[in-house]
Amino acid sequence: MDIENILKKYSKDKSYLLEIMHDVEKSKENKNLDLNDLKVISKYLDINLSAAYGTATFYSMFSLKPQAKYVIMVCSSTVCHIKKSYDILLFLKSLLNCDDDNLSKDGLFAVSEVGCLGLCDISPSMMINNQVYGDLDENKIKQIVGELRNGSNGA
Amino acid sequence: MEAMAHKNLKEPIIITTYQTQCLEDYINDGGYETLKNVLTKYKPNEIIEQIKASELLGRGGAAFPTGIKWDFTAQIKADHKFVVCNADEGEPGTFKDRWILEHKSYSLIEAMSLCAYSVGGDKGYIYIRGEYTESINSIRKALKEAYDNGFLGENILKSGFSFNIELRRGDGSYVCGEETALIESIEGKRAFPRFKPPFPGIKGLWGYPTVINNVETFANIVPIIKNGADWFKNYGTEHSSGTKLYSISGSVNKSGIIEANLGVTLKELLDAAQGMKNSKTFKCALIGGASGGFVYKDELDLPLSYETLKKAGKTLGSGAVLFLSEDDNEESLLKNILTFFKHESCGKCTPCREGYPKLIAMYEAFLENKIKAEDIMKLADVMFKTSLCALGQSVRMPLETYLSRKYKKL
Repeated sequence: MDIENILKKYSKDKSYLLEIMHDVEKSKENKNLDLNDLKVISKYLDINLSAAYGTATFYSMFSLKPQAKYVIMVCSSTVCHIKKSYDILLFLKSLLNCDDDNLSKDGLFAVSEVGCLGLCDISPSMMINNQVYGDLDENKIKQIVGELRNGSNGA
Repeated sequence: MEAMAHKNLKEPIIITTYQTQCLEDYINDGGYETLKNVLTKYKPNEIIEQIKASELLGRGGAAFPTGIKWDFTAQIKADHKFVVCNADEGEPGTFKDRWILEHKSYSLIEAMSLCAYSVGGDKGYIYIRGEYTESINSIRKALKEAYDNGFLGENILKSGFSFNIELRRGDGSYVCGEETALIESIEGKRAFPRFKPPFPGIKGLWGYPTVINNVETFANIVPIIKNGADWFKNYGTEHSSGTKLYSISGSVNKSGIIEANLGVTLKELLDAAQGMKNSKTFKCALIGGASGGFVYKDELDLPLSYETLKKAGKTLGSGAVLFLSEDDNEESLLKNILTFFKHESCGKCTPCREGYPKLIAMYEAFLENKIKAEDIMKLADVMFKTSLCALGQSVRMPLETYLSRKYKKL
C-alpha cells in the first residue's frame, strides 16, 4: 500500500501520527521512514515537519535509515541479563559476522540490544521482526538463523 | 466467586491458561452482563462508591486508590472526558499485562466502558507497547467484536450511553509508561512527561480530564462490580485489598505469572515457583522491577503488600519478582539497571539526563574502591528529589537496598 492509500484509512486527527508512521514504515521495502514520508504525513495532519521529525526520531522502533531484512532485538534487561543475554548477543554477532554497526556481513541481519521485551518467563529472549523467540541457547540460535537464511521461517 | 484469574484463590497459583479466548465463551461466562446491569440499574456515582469501598489500589506501580482517581474526574464538568488504559508494560521483569491483554481482553474493554459510564467519559484509548504484537492483535479482535455486538459505540445496549475505544501502538519507549508521557505520545508527540499538577484526572489528554489506569487495575473492575466491594476485600491484607499478578522470573524452576493474595510472602512465591533452579541457594530477589529494591534472605517472610514493603523502605511496584541465586551477581545487575535507565532517559529534565551517565561513572569508580557508597547515594538523592518523573527518581531504591546491605555504614 502506498502512503496516499495509508492516509486514506485515517482521519486528520493528530493522535494518528504514530499509527500512520507505523503503517508507512511497514509498507516500505527497507522498513524505514524518509524525509519525504514525513513531509507528506505532516502536511496531512497539519503539523510542523519538525514536530513529525522529532516524534519519528524519539521512538526507538522507528528508523530513518534503511533497515536490514531481519531486525534482531536481543533483550538485555534485568532478567535476561541474569540469564546471560550478553553471551547470546556476542554469539549472534559472531555467527552473523556483524560489523561495528551490528549489521551482518550479508546485510540480511541487524542485531541490537533492547530494554525488557516482557518475555521474562522464557528468558533469555529476543524478537526478530514481529516474531518472539525464548529459552535461547547457541543451538537454538543457529537453528533459527539457519531457517531464516533458507526461508523456512517466516519471521 | 472468582479472583481475577482463579476461582476461590487461597494459595498462590501459577497461571497456566494460555488458550485463546473467544467472545462466545466470555458471554457464556457472564461477560458484559455487569455492563448491562450497570447501564440499566445503577447511577454513575454508585459505581464509583463501589470502587472506592473496594479500596482497589492502582496496579501499575504507584498504588494510588482507583476510586478516588475516578472521583476526581467525575466531579469535573467538561465537554469531553477520556479513559485511557496504560498497556505500555515496560518495567523490566514485568509481563503480567501481556497475559491480561491476550487472555482477558473482553473484561478489559468492559471495565473501560464501566469507568467511562462512571466518570462521564466519551472516548477511550488503549495504548499498547509496539513490541506486544500478539496483545495488539488480541485487543484489535476484541474491540471489533465489541463494536459488532453493540457493546461499544453509539447507544450501547440501547441504554443511551455512548463510548468509543481506539487502539494506539507505542514504539519502544520505556518512559511512555509514565502516564503524562503516554498522554503526550497519544497526542502524537515525543513522550516527554509533563509537570504535575495538574494531574491527568483534571487536565489530561488534549487538556481534558482523563482517567488513566494500568491494565491490571482495569482487569479488577468487572469482578469487583459483579461480586461487590466486600467480596474483593476478602482477598489481600487490611490496606492492600485483592489479589495480585506477580511476574516471577530468574533462577527458579518455574518462571511465570502467579496470582496470589496481596500480602503473600516471598517464601510462598518461591515455593509456588517450585524453588530455586538446580537446587541452588536463594540469595535475594529484586522486587518491583528495575526501579524496585532488593529483598534478602532474612526478609523471606515479609508480606508482599503495598504497605509492608513501603514500611520496609521498598516497593511492590508492578509486582515483578526476580529471584537471584548464590551464583547470580547483584553488582553487575545494578550496572545493567543504571545502563537501562540512562538509555531510556527521555532527556527533558537535567537531573535524569545528566545524572545517569555520571551515576554510572561513579558506580564504576566505586567498584574500583575509588569512592564511597555514600558519594553515589548523594547523587541518587539529588536525582530523587529533583527529577521530573519516576524515571530519574526510582534508581535510588535499587542502589540503596543493595549498598546499605553490603556496606552497612550507609
